[in-house]
Amino acid sequence: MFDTTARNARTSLATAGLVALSALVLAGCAGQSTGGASGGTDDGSKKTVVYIPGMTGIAFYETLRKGAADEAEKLGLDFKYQGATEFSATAQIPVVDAVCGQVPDLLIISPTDPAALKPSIDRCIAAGIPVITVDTVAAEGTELVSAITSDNEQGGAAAAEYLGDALGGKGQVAVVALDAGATTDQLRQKGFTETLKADYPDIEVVASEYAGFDAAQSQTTARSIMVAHPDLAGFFGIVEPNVEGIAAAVGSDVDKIKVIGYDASPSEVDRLKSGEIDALVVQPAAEEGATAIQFADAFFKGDITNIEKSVLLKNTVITTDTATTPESEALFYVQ
Amino acid sequence: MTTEAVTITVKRVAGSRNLLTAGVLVAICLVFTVLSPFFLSQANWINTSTTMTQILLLGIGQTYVIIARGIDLSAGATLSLSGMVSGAVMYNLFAPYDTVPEGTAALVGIIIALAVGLLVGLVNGFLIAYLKIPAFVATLGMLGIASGASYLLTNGQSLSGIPPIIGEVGNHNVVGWIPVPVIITAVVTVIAWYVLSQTRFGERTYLLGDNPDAVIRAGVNDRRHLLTVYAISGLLAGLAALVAMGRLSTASPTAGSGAELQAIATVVIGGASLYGGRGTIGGTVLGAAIVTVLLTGLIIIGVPPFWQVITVGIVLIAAVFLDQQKEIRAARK
Repeated sequence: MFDTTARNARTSLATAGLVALSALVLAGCAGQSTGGASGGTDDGSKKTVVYIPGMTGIAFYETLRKGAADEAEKLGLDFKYQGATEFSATAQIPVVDAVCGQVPDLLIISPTDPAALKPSIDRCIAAGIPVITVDTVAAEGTELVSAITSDNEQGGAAAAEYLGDALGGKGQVAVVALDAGATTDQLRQKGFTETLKADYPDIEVVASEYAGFDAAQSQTTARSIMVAHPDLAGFFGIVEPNVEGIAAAVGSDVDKIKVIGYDASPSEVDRLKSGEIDALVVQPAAEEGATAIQFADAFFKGDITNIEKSVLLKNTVITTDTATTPESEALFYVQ
Repeated sequence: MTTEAVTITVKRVAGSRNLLTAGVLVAICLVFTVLSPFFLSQANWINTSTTMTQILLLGIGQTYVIIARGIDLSAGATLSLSGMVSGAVMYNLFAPYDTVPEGTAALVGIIIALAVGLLVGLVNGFLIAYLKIPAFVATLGMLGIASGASYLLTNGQSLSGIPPIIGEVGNHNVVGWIPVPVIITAVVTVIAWYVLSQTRFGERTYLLGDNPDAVIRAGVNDRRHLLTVYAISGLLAGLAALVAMGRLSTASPTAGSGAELQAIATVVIGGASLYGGRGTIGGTVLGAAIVTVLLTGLIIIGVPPFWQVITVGIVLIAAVFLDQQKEIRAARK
C-alpha cells in the first residue's frame, strides 16, 4: 500500500512538473507567434506584411525572407515571418489559417501544394487580405495580386546545358531526385531531360531515382547508380540533400564524374568552392522576396501599374571557377 | 512458463525461423546476380554493406525495444539530433582545427554524439517506464522534439565543417574490402547478440515482453529494466549518427529521416513479434541485409523507382506471412 501511495505521489509531482514545463514552453512559443502577425492597426500608418514559406529552416527560404525583410525595412513596411518546420500541406494549412485570423494587410506565401492550400488561401482572400505567391504557385483561378516564381524548367535546362557542354556532348548521366509528387521536381527534371534530348542527343540519362529529402539515402542511391553504370560521367541533384549525397558518393571519383546541384546553401557553396561539386543552379531567392515586397508596397499605394501579375525569374549556373566573383557571392544563400 | 523454458522455446523457434529468412535473402541475391553483372562487384559490396550498418545499428536497438513489447519511433530523429549536436560542438569549438588536433576534436564529437543518443533514450525510458506513457505516444512525441531540435541548432543547415578525419575514417576500407563502419557494427552486433541470448539481462528482456507480471513477481525491477532497454536504443542511434556522419563527411539534419520505419521493418522481417517476447539479433541482421540488398539491388537492376517501393512493401508482408505459416504449422505438431 505504502509503495503505491509513494508512487502516486511521485507521479503527481512529475505530472505537475511536466504541466508547468509545457506551460512554459507554450508561453515561449506563443510569445513568438503572436509577435508574428499582430494585424495592421498597432501603428497607424505602418502596413503589416506576413510571409509564410514552404517550410522554415531551409537556406533558400531564409534568403528569400531576408531579401523581403531588407526591402520592407527600406520601404517602411512591417514584415513578419511564420512557418511550419516541415514541407507539407498538413503542416502549412494551420499556419495560414492562424495568420489570416489576425488579418495582416497583405499575405505572401509559398504554397506547399496548390490544391490542398486553395481553401485556406481563398478564405484569406475572402477576409479581405490580398495575397502574393512566391517560389511555388497557387491553384489556378486564385485571385492573386501577383505570382512570383523562379523558372524551375529553365533551371533544369541550365543544368542540362552545363553537363552537355562539360561532357563535350556525349556520355551517360543520372538524376538523383526528391519526390515524384513535387512540382518543382517535375519541372526541373522536365527541363533537364527535354534540353538533353533536343540539344545533346548523344547524352543518355541512364537513371533517374527518387531519394527523398535525405542525404544518407541520396548517397546510397547515387552509389548504386555508379555501380550499375561504371561509365557514368555526370550527376544532377534536384535538391540540396540529393546533391550532398551525390558529392559524398562520388568522393574521389570527382575527376571522372561531373556533379551539378540546385540551390546555394552555405554548405553547398563550401563544396562548390572545394571542387566536390562542379556547379550549382542558383535561384534568385533574395530577388523573389524583394520583388514581392515592392509589389506589396505598390499595392498599398494604389500604384497598380507597377505590379506584374506573374513574374518568372531566371536562375544562374555558378561553377567552381566562378564561385568567388562578387556577382556569385551576392547570389549565395544566407543561413 | 519459467524463464528458462521461455528462453529455450525462443531459441528453438528462432533457429528455424532464421533459416527461412536466410533462404529469402539468398533467393533475392540469386535473382539480382542473374539480372545484373554488377551485383556481385566490390563496389556494390562496399555500398550495400556500409548502407546496411546504419539500418542495422538502429535495428539492433529496436530489437531490444520490440522484444520488451515496446516501440521506438524516435530512433531516426535521435540519429539526426545526435549528429547535429556533435557536429555543431566540433565545428563551433574547434574549427578550423589548428589549435586543437583533429583527432581530439573528433573524440569530443564521438563522446557527444553517444551522450546525446543515450540521453534521449533515457528520457524515452523514463516517460515510458516511470510516467507510464504508452511507448508509441512517448517516442512519437520525442520524434517531433528531436527532429525539431536538430533543425533548430543550425537553422536546418547541414555542417560540412566537421573534422575531415571523420570522413576519412568513415569512408576507409580495410584491405580494400572491409569498410570501417562494418567493423564497428560487427563488434556491436556480437555484443548485442551475447547480451540478448547469453545473459540474465537478455532473458529478462524476453520475459518482460512475454509476461511483464511474471517479471514483477520474480522481484525484478521492471521499470529500471525498461529504462535500460530504451537507453540502449538511444545509444545505438547515437552510434548510427557517427556512422552516417563518417559516410557523408557532413553532419546533416536529414540523415535519419524515416530511418525508424526502416529499422522496424528490419526487425519484423527478422522474425520479431510486435507483441513482444520474440526476436533475435541474428534475425535482425538478416532483416537488415534483406532491406538493404533490396534498396541497392533494385536500383542496380534498373527497376523503375515506383516499383522499387512496391517491391519492398511486398517483401515485408510476404516475409512475415511465410513466418506465420511456419509458426502455425509448428503449433499444430
